[in-house]
Amino acid sequence: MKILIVDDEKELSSSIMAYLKSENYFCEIAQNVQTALRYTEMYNYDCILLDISLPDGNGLTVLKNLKADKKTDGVIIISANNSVDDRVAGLNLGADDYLPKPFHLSELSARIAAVIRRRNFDGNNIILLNEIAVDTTAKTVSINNNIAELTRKEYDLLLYLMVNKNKVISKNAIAEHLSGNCDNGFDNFDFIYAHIKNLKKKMQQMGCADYIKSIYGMGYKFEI
Amino acid sequence: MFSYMIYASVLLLASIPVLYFSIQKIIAEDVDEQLILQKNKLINKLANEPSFSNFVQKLQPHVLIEKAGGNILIKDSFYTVEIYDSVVKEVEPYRMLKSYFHFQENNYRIQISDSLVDAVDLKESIVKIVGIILLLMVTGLIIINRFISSNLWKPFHETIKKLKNHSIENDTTLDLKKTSITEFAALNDTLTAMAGRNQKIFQSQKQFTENASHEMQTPLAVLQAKIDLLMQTNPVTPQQAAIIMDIENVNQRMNRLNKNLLLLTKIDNDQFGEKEDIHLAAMLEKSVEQYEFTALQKNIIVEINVEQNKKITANKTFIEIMIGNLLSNAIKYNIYKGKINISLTSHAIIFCNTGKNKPLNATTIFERFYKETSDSNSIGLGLQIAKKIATGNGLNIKYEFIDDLHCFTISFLPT
Repeated sequence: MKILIVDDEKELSSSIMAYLKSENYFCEIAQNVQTALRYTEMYNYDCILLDISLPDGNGLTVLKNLKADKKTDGVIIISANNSVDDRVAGLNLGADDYLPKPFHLSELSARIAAVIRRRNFDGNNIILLNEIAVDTTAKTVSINNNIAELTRKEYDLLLYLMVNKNKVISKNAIAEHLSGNCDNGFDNFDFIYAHIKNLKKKMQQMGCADYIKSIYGMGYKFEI
Repeated sequence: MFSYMIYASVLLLASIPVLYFSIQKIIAEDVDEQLILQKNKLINKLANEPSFSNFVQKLQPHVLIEKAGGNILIKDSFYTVEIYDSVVKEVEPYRMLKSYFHFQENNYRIQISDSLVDAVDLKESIVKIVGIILLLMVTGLIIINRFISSNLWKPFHETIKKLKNHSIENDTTLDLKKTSITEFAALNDTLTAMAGRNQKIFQSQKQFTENASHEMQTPLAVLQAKIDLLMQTNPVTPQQAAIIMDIENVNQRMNRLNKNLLLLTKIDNDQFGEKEDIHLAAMLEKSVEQYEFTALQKNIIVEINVEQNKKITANKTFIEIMIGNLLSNAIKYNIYKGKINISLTSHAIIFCNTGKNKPLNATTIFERFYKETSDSNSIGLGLQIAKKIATGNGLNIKYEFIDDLHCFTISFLPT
């Protein structure tokens, strides 16, 4: 899978690259609009992470160019300017998603995976990890070919952990991902523990190995 | 204006006795001269008269000549006497001249009287005249003053009105009318310059806050990414994990703080964007659904009671944020197994929640960075944001403590 990171902040791009590399993504970095345009004209990417304010212009130019060339690269706008106007403009131009900075790398990774799945038109939307098969179209989970009875939150949680497999995901990141809002903070993370416990129980009852590990109270990891 | 009238009235009233006495004096002097003249005429006439007794008989009633014995006073003497006038049936003041003369070896006394102006009449006339003058003057002053204030002070009042309506937060310049009055023109020029300066300072301060929060987003994003990467390092000891977790939590707080500051500056900058019709009942339901997950953690029961499906025209995103902030506060400061009642009536949205059993300070809670608790999860911007959004959209927000419930009421303005 090829990813293009268009962002002028080197430290951020390199961190994203480091995180995604271990998930078998091949990343390239463009620090300005000109480089981004050159890259997108030469190659096709599965997903482009696009910052809007770049030193030599607006990142949306790259998006417009892609659409004009009828390219089907997935685009996620990552912007420091979390304004409604930017979001609407980006989505209207055909961006697949909008992720305001700052974000958790695990969240970014989940969004990238979702964009790539949606762009994958051959209907194969099943994530397979050993005995676990997640059908992202039907939103169902099968373990050893039996459908698991998971709640919506448990499904979301499992999918989030699986697309970030072998990565420690902080409780904050999980809480934000599950609640869908992050502006108000959380009193405690007991509810995550409860969800994880229920999920693990259900999976183990169906003969699934114990993949979900707690890492010193820091977060959880789907280890495979 | 008032002091002018008092001064004029005092002056006029003081003139009444002065006028009275001086007029009386002038009249008396005049009458005295007349009397002396009359006396001399009579004495001269008498000299050519053959018969004294005949002459005396023909005299007018106000003249009296009689023989005087003994000492003769050469000097004329005047008296003012009150005599009953049978014609007008009133006691009238008279001036009387008493004099003595020598005639045909006899001494005679002559007494001539003439009526004076009645003092009461004089007083009455003076008071009447002065009264009329006073009345004319006061009405005249009022009319002139009205005229002056409506014309001369017109530009001044216009300036005051403009100043009252002027807000430093608005981008509109203070547009004061041109005036021909030099002092007011100078005042207007100074005010315009001052307002312009203040606006510039305010704008640059707002711009600074916005830029600062905006610029902060990138380093915060880098920090977040680095923390996420740090978590992936292997091996991580339990101590390191605890420290990483603490850094992560603090960073999260900083992110929220910064996001809210940015939002606040956007509201301050009046960036309310497009307005549209909002069905509040649907929006409330959607918000409650969004926070259902958070509410569930504390086993809080949320009830929505829609009395009237009210529709307002405002910016949807901001109203969503306002409702979200109030709802999230109602959850955050609630007790375990508490409840939240949301009512939508024709005139207000009311959020009532259980919580601490004592009222909050109704004014300070809406202030920036005000915190009721030392809870590190609380930033102290949520209610100010809610209030600014409400005010910016023509809504009013207030806090009350009713029946052990913390209630926030967002009332719609009467349309």
